[in-house]
Amino acid sequence: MRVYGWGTVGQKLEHSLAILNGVLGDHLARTSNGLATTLSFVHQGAALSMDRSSLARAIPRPSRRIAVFVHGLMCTEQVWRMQDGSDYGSLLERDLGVTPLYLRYNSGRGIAENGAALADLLEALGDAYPDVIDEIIPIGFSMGGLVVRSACHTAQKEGHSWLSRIKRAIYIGTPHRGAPLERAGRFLVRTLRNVPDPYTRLIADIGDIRSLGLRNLGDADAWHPLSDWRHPVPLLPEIQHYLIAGALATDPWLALWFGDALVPLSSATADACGDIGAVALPPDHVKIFHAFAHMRLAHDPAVYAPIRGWCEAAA
Amino acid sequence: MNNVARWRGAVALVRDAVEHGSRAVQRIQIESARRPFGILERIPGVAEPTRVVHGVHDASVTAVHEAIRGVNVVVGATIDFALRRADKGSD
Repeated sequence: MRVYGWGTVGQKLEHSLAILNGVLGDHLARTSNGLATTLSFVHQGAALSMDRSSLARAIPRPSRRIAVFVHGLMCTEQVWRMQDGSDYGSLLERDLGVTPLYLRYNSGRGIAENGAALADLLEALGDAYPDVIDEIIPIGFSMGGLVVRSACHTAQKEGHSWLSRIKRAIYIGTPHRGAPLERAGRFLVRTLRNVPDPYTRLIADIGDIRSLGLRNLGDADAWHPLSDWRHPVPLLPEIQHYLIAGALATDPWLALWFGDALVPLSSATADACGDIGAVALPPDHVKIFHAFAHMRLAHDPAVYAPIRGWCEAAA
Repeated sequence: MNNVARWRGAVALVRDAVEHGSRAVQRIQIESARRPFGILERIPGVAEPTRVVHGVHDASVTAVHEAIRGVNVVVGATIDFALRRADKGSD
């Protein structure tokens, strides 16, 4: 299934709205603004209705394995698209017969809110999908990985049936330990606010406009009750977790601290195969791509190779 | 989400931006003027007239920004009404 094919102007508009949602999405949602993106699966640029006939029309050849692609902050499902028009989803469908579904959501809302909404959507998908679902493979890019983690925890808490169909989850450039750029921004805003000058305070006010989702990224705040700055929601031990990280620099220290320019290696790899919560990750569950910037991780043929390998392996 | 809903959303966003922007600029203008007025208000002889000028300044700044926000609300509500009518007409 391909989700693309709509006009370039439409894509640019959707991308502009995704950026707007990333910056102000919590305000847009709170004020019921028509520009707020509603969390849904999208097909050819339009939201998919969660009923059997709509899904059957959109997915003419459903398989029993589904890959759910969750984009990152200020993105749409377009972020997965490679230069030749394919994406990890279409390649997985071609190579392994996995049916891809692409999520679009308001990345400015809190990660926990989006996680809860995704959990509900996946529960609804179980009833509406035109075939039996044996496995759901969530693949999250950047913030999308945290939304996936949050959704899994909501599902566990609420007793959702879809969680039993998750055998593996893939996180691409996900800041499991938070994003230091956001923490630096927060520090800067706090400092500016303490300067007794109205113009400086105005700059601090403008800095504070940033959305809840963006703020959550600083601490990888995927689920409020469990989160602190080092340990957000622990990875569920029943699931095989796979991590992909990028590093611009080849120097190990620079790579560790600056990573793919947005997410440090230590955060994207959960401290180089260390544990997140209770789960220790084997080394072959972590793949690091050198000379890769953050966004490139979402649409590069080299990154597809381990994704395919992990999806192929028996869970 | 249809196009009219998005247009209405854009109008609401601009209205919010003007509202918050106006409040921020009003605060800056009043706070910035407070410092020089404060100095003059400590000088015997000019203190009393300065207090009067200060009061007039703050009142006029507030009135200007209240007017901006009022017009903003009226224009925003009018455009929103027109968009809703257009949306109903297209059904």
